[in-house]
Amino acid sequence: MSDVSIKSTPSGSAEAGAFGPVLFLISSSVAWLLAGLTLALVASVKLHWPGFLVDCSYMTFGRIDAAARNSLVYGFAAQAGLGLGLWLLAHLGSARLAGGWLIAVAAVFWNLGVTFGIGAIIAGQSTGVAWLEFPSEVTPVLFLSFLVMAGWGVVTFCTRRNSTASPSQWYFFGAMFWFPWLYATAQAAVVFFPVRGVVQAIISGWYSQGLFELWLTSLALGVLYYLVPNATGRPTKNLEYATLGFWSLIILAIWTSAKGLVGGPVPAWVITVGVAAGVVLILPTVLISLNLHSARLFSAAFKSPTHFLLLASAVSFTVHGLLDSATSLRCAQKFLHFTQFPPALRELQLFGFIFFALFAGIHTFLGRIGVKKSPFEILGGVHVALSVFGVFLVIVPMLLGGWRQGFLLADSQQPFLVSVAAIHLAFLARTAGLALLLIGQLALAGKLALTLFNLAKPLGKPALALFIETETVPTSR
Amino acid sequence: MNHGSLVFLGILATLSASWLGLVAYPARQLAALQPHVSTNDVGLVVRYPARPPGEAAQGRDLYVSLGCVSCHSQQVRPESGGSDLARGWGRRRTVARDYVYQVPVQLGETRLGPDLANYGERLGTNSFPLVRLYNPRLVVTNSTCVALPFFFRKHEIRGVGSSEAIPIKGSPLGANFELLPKAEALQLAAYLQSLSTSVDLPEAALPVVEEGGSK
Repeated sequence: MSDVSIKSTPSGSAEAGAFGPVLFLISSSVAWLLAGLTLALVASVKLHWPGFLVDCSYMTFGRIDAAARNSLVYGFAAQAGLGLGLWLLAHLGSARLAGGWLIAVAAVFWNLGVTFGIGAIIAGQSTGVAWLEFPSEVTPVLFLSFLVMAGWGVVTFCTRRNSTASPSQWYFFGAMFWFPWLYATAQAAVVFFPVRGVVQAIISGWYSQGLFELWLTSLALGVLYYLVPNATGRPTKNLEYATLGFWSLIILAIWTSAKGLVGGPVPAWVITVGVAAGVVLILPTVLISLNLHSARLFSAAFKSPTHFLLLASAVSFTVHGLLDSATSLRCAQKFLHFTQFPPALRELQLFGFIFFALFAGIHTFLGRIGVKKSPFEILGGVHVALSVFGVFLVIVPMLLGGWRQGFLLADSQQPFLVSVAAIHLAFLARTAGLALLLIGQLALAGKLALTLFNLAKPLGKPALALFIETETVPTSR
Repeated sequence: MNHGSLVFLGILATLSASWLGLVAYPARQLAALQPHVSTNDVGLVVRYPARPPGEAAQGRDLYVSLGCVSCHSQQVRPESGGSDLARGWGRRRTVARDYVYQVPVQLGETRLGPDLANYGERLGTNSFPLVRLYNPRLVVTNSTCVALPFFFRKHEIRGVGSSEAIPIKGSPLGANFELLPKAEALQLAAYLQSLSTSVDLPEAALPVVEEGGSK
């Protein structure tokens, strides 16, 4: 078994300065991953066992569910994606990641912000706006610490040695701008100075769609566009597809926001634009998929756990994109709206595409700084097997159940509770899947702990020392 | 694509375009929306929607804080959009004006529970069954709704017992105790009871009187 290894760049390890801050971001992201999945598991159990943990307001489904979603996105995906992005911007540009310890300090503040936000949601201080549930006190902390981290990412991109930039760099570079813009606008217009009535819903839809379709997608695609060619040894063919895919994605993705409001109390043109953009979004899906799958990942899928993750991520990207475009049509939205189908599709994107890409990036990063040892390979294998099987159980029954729920909900002769009962089995499968996913992440956490306490390749000391010695990393070739 | 500045300008242009289109323009379009003013049968001026009275407003804060929106929507789609009207979840579709005073708007995205836009109207003149908040499964056997027992307190029965106690058959508390609602339960109940959109609006008229219009 050979993991995806990264070729040294001509300038040797200019990236070495990135290891400390990136390792910190990744370590804390994995902690949030465990916390978020535990909360998600509790929330999921409550859906088929509503009497579970009801004696305390902190454990109410609505709060646990919001806390789980926010931990997984702002705790795990944001930090892991940003960490990998900073590392790869340094690596691909053969540039030193400027601002080492400042990034680590900003990351500490980010974690404090997320911790306070999750605590506040559980204590009942949620703003009640989807994906912006953290109370407004947290907003400046997250915003400023992101600006600090992303700012150094931009500096690193601008000081790259080679003038050509790869698709991976475009996506990471864009990701440094999208989040602060989306976040600042949505916070201002929905939380701090709320606009009138349903415009809040339009803007929060704009934000959540931007968060997933633009920002997190960019972080994950940045990882895939770099790792897939490395894993298969085939450089990305058809760079023009990549270019067109990038531009069409960033132009279209965010206009899809209102397709989830079909039939809702908003101006009709907003919905029409959302549906149209949702359908046309199939263009970047196809172009990017052609890039990813032309590398023939399938034939290399069993070379290492990381290879398998890359394949699973690329397949999830394609399946999600195609299903999403197909179900954007009004005729589909009419019966799928309000069912568990759209949330399941969202989880296919978040768990299947984004998480798997980030997992692949994390394994590669740990391989880059850690020593190769046999427990590594076993833990990696356990992590990937349980994650992929768990995500399959979380998503596929829910997609099917949501579809059936839609038909029952559309038929006014069927009592409402029949439509809820139709997804009971899918909720059971989801709980089992989340449990497997959580156990799988323990293997990832184990691998991370081994890396932290074992010899790190570029340092000759435990990797933990990277946290305090970012500036003194020897540049070994 | 080698130029970082080109990528930067592209990012700026695409974000600005969507910002203008989906943030600035809708905000401008709906900024002037006002409550509907009409005169009722006895000649009084009525504004719709009205700001909710104090207890209901506090109840709404609880609704937001508990995350009820995870499972309950508050919007009625037009007939062409789904079965909402046929299910009796409202007498007309909901429109932007219904939400002018709502902060934050709780439209909702999933229906693991029924739509609540007109929940108060479905209750009719009956007072809200508080036992539903204590444990929904005492009222609807298969309900998956959350129970809120922490909004009630155990109270020893002295004499005939309190008139506020919620009726529970085979009480798990024992014969000498009753359950009294805390302020939170009453606030949430007041909010749920206040939910109704059955007002004739120029842009969304109520249907002409139908027999048995509400289920």
